[in-house]
This record gives sequence, C-alpha cells and structure tokens, in this order.
Amino acid sequence: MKIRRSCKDVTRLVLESQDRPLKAMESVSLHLHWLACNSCRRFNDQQRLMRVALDRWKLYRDAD
Amino acid sequence: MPPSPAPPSDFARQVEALRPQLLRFARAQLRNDAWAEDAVSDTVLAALEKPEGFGGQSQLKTWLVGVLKHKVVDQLRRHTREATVMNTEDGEDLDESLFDRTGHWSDKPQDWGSPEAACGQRQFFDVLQVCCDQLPPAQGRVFMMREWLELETDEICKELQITSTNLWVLLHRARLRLRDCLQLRWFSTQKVKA
Repeated sequence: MKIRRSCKDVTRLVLESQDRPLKAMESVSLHLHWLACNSCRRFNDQQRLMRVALDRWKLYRDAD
Repeated sequence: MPPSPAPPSDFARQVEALRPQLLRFARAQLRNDAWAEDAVSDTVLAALEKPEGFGGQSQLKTWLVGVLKHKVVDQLRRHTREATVMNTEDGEDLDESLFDRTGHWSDKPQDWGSPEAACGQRQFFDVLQVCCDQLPPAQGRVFMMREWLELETDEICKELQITSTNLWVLLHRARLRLRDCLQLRWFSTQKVKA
C-alpha cells in the first residue's frame, strides 16, 4: 500500500481521476499529499478550472 | 413526363447553411480533412433523407451536431488504425520537463484564480479552442472523443482498439499539454488576484 507519493505520481493520479474512479487508498494518499504540498494543490485547482471551462465550452460549441 | 426536381426546401437550405460550422467541429475532432468532409456529408444526407427526425423542439444546429457526433464515431471506427498513429509530438513526455529526478516540480504551478474569473471572459474560450486545436493528432482525437463526444473510456478503447493504459497515457499527455498552452497563452498574460 502506497501512502507517500512523489509530486509526479500525485499529478498522474489527479489526471487519471478524470478518466477512472480512484481507489480509496489512492484518494487518501492524494489528500495527505495535498496537506503538505502547495504546488500539487495548485495543480489540482488548475485541473478543476480546466474541468469547469471544458464543460462550459462544450455548451457554447454545441448550441450557439 | 418525369416530375421536375423539387426546388430545395427551406429545411434543405437551412441545413446547407450550417455545413461550415459542422465541418469545423468535425475537423477539430477528426484532424483529417477528408474524414471530416465525409462525416459532414453523411450528416447532411441523413438530415435531408429523414427531416422528420428533427422534431423542432431543439435548435436545428443542436440536432445536426447530435447526428454529426454519430457520423464522427463512424469515421473513427472506419479509420481506427490511422487514427491512433502517434507522431513524434504525441510521443513526447511532458512529465520529463515538469519534474526533477526526485519527482518534485521543477517549475511550480501558478495560481490561476477562480474558474469563474477565467470563464467570465469570452476570449478565454478562444484560447482554449486554439490550445485544443494544437494538440498533436492522436492525443487530440482521444481527448475530443472524451470531452466533446463524451464517450466513456472503455468505449473509446473499443472504438480505437487500444488498451486502457494507452488511452490514459494519451489523455494524460493531452491534459498536460493543454495546461501548458493555457499557462503560456492566457494565465501568464493575466494578473490573477490573490
């Protein structure tokens, strides 16, 4: 069971979480990492922003 | 005497008028002009053959885009092998430059501010569009299948006959590249309020 992860590894998981459900332990290890790592929190916020933007863009593209 | 061909109906004219927009969508997804032309022709043909399919409840464009999505998947299915050929750019691994040897960020992610602030600006979506169009072909196709056609990952794997590991690698690279492009073309030019 892997609890401590590198930033590179956390980044991979954050990206994969958009395309597959994470396992419980993966999720826990992400949250633990974020407690201590400002950069990875920011990366996650950036991905959230991209998520919102892509969803909104989809609506624009299809309808207007 | 054979009946003279009927003049194009209003419906046919309206459908034709939307052709350029449909073509833009098809190109963005397929990244191949010939496939895009075929997908759009099939869409227009299907619409003209069965105009009653358009119930009139939605906008004509919305309905046509819905038909187009199916025709785009048909094209991808027909050209599976070529659709997943990676060029050198597809093969590049951005991870290598993002992290140092110990797996730490070599270039720390910046604060992008709130989604509302970015999405409130129409130009931001133009940049997003440019950045999506610039994805290398194989990455661009799977990314658009996921984000625009809204296919589940197992459907994409089935249609393109690739493994889920291959798919995750392509999506991973596409999302990192998109982030890089947005950083460069939008966020580094904006003053983000803390």
